[in-house]
Amino acid sequence: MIRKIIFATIVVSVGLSNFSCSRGEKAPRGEPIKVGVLHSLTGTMAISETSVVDATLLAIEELNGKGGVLGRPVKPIVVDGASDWPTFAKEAERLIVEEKVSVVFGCWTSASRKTVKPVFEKQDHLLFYPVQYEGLEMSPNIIYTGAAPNQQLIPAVKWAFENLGKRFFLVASDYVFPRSANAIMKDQIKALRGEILGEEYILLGSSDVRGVVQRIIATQPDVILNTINGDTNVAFFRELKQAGITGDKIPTISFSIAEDELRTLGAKMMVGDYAAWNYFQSIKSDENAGFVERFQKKYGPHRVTDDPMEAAYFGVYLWAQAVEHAETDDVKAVRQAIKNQSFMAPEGLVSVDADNNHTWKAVRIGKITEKGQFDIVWTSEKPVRPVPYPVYRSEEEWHQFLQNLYEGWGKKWANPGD
Amino acid sequence: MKFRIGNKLLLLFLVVALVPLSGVSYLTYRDAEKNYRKEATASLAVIAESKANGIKSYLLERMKDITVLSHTPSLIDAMERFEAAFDREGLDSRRYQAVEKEWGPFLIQYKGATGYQDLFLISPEGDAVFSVEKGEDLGSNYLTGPYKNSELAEVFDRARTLLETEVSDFGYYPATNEPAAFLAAPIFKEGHFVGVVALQMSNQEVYQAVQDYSGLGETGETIVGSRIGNQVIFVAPTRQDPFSAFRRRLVIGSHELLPLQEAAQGKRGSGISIDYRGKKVLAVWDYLPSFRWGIVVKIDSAEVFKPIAAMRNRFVVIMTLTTLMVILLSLFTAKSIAKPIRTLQEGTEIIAQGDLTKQIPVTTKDELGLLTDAFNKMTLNLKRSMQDLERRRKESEEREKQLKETQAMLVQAGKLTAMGQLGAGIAHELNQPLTAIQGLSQTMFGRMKSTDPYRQPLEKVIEQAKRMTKIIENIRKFGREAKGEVEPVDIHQTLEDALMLVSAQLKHHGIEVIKEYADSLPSVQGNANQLQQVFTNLLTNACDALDEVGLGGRIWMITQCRGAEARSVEVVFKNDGPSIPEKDITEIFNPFFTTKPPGKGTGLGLSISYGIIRDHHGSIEVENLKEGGVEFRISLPLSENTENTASPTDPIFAKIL
Repeated sequence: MIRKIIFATIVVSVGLSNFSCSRGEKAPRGEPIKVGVLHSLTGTMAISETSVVDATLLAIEELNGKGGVLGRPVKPIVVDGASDWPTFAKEAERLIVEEKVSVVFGCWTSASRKTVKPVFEKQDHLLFYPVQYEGLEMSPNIIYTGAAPNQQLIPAVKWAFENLGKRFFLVASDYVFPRSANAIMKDQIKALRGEILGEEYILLGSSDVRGVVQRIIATQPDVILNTINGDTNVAFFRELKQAGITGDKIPTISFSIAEDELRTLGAKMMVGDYAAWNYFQSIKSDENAGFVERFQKKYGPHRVTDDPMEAAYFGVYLWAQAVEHAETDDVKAVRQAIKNQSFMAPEGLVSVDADNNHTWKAVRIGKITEKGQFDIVWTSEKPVRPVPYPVYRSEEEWHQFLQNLYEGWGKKWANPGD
Repeated sequence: MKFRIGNKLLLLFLVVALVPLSGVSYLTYRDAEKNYRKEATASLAVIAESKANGIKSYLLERMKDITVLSHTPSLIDAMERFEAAFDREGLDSRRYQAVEKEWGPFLIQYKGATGYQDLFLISPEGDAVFSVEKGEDLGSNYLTGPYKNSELAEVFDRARTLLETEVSDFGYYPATNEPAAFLAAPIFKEGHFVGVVALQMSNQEVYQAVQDYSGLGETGETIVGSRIGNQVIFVAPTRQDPFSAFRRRLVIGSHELLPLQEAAQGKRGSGISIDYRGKKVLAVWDYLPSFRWGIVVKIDSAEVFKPIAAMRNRFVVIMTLTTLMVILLSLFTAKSIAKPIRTLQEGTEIIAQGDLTKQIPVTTKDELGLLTDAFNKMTLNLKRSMQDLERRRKESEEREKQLKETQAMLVQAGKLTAMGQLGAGIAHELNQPLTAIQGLSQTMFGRMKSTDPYRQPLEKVIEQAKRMTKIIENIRKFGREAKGEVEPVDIHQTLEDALMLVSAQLKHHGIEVIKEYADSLPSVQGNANQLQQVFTNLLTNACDALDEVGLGGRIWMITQCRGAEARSVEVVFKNDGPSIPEKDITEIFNPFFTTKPPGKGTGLGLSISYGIIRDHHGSIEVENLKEGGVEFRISLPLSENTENTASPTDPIFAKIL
């Protein structure tokens, strides 16, 4: 009789302690949290965007390995924007409305972002945008984990002023980002009393570069500021290098070329040129070493990491933190909780600025090496406050500038060509 | 072994009472503690957020200030002028002084109105061309001069590089030897960068936000720290240590104030931690990118959880009291159960030993009381049964004895009958020879001469033969199953007849017979032969008894009427011989009882006599006389009195008779 009581007591206490035990480190269980991954898996931008998808998925996998978010597994739904902006918008809508995802990680080109922005605002949803861009934008429904102009373009120009020279040639793809970037850089160069020797635009996807290269040769600038995007870069640099414009002669500072693009371009011909980013694979920190190792373990030892990949990666973690903080994956609650989130990313400490939804990031200038990596020649050390609207013009002036581009291109964000 | 039940009960009570109680208490306490902590953390988080927001808004306001200032035409002009004057002619020149006179007041007024510590104008090359306070750094170059590592120099450089309003870290500004932070904004004229305006912020305003302890009770405080290398430096004075600003530092990786380490490295969080005083605190921490500060809002655990601690203490007290009560209660209950059981057990043992008289006291009214009661009843029943058993055993013994006696008597009766029959048979057989002897003797006697010498002996022979005939006759009577003829009997005559039979014997023994007959004796209804037998028997016995003590002695034969109206006749035979031993006197009427040596007597005489008298509805008694001697008293009722005595139709005695 006594024994029965003791046994029953033990059973009850064990049961109670299990019940009242907090959720420990276990495999994620329960209803999965669906997240959208929206990038170009095909088309001209695939060369850059597929790696970003890889980095995004790595972050999600790591989250699930640590018990998921709120104890629930995260389920990525990967869709193809096909380098076509309307497709991006359509897929974004489908992800939100049909798949009912809690968040979307996606876009590369500003054109794609500008096209999906109305969707996210209409649906009052949330997009994490991981690529450096021209700024001049602020949406309550987008978290910008890539650099704003003052976190990439402006410091690079200043550094070029001090290290390379005052005579600049601007080459660009013809869509909203390079147009806006050039406007910003021209303002700055003028403020610093520099010279602009040329400003050329090539349609997206086009390889019609010969004319531009010849003009560069003709004007002999101190620095080429390159905002070409996509595989046009391949054609441009081939042409440029074949013409003998190597890094030691006329260095190019590119704003859309990183380790991943170097794989395709071939680092050898790019040696001595520069790029400005917040992240380089060659950053020496524990976080970065771990990130690179885990990425290469999953995808192969010859893969490289670059800034948009890293921005996508920490974007996922920031989102996860916000969800844990809000204790729900509800979009509105997460949008509230994402403000002021900080994370020790591979590039260093990043924080979401509550006022403009951009991210505080450090700035770095890197010089291309033979191995396809970058030697970091300058760093801002401390994270820089994101300022989406450069001070030279007011917000209204900038909006007007953008509007003019949009209207001029027939309500599109890229030059459609003739 | 005492109170084994007690131990079980104690364990049972403890488990049943304490396990649920402690379980519930523990769970309630834990839940309450969890909720309380959650709430306390939430309120602390609200405070932390409001402070962080406060600091951030303060900063944003300041940045707005300076940005606006940098766009002010007057300032742009002032910048140009001061720079030109400084560049061309230096600080002490007249030109400079003129510029100062013109532009100075506006700047001084601005500074005064807005409360900044100082206002600087710095040229694009880094020269401090103007300062309101005119500190030591006025005129120095921030890129190359002695202050090139100061926060002001750094923020100036950033402002001009990034062409943005910038905020410096809080740091010790050597020129004023105080913690200070700077704002710097680039100045543009017509799209060209022409210089930087810098403002020195008063740390007081920032500290104020930090040092506002409302909502933080007695021990709560806000700690602000900046990460420099692998250390975190306290930026503001704390409540507990007013001198900590820029003095106290933590090493990242140490165990000190982990929340601040985390916060300075960009992590937010909340929880219980140990602060730099070694006390347990509830903390909420966050990172402020604006200043790159980690901010920790904390309050001593003891203060926050005081109500919980009180609750816990209450629970402990309740538990202790309950435990005590439970122990006492269980002991008491156990005792109240165990004691009666023990009493019962002891009582049982005593009874088991054989004492069936023991009754166990009933002390309780419960089942144990009932049990004890039942036990007692059982004991009583047992005793009665035993007694019953004993009684029946005795009865059975008695009956057995009686049976044996009856058996014996039956045997005797059988023997007697057998003997009687044997006697009758012998008598019958002897009759014939006896007749012959008598006849022949008579014949011989008739033929004898009176002078024949053998006449006298022959006479004796004939006499003896007659006697033998009479004896045989008696024996035959004895054996006969006669009903016994009942007729009026003359007692005196019967006595004489009896005497005659025994006279020779008596004479031989020299015994004197004294007769004391009543004058007139009514006749008794009965059998003369049988009565004669009785009288003969008694006389013979007396003769034998007297004979034992030698020659002589006397026998009395007394008759008298007895009772009023002559109800019965009494015949007494008295002798002055030896007394009958006491032990024999009760048995002399028993058949086969004799004091004579074996072969000499049958032991039947008196028993036959007894039977005969009884058949006559009379009584026979024997008594040792005080003066010596033995007396036999026979009482015979007269014809009418026949009550209270055995009737001749009694089956047992029928055979004997």
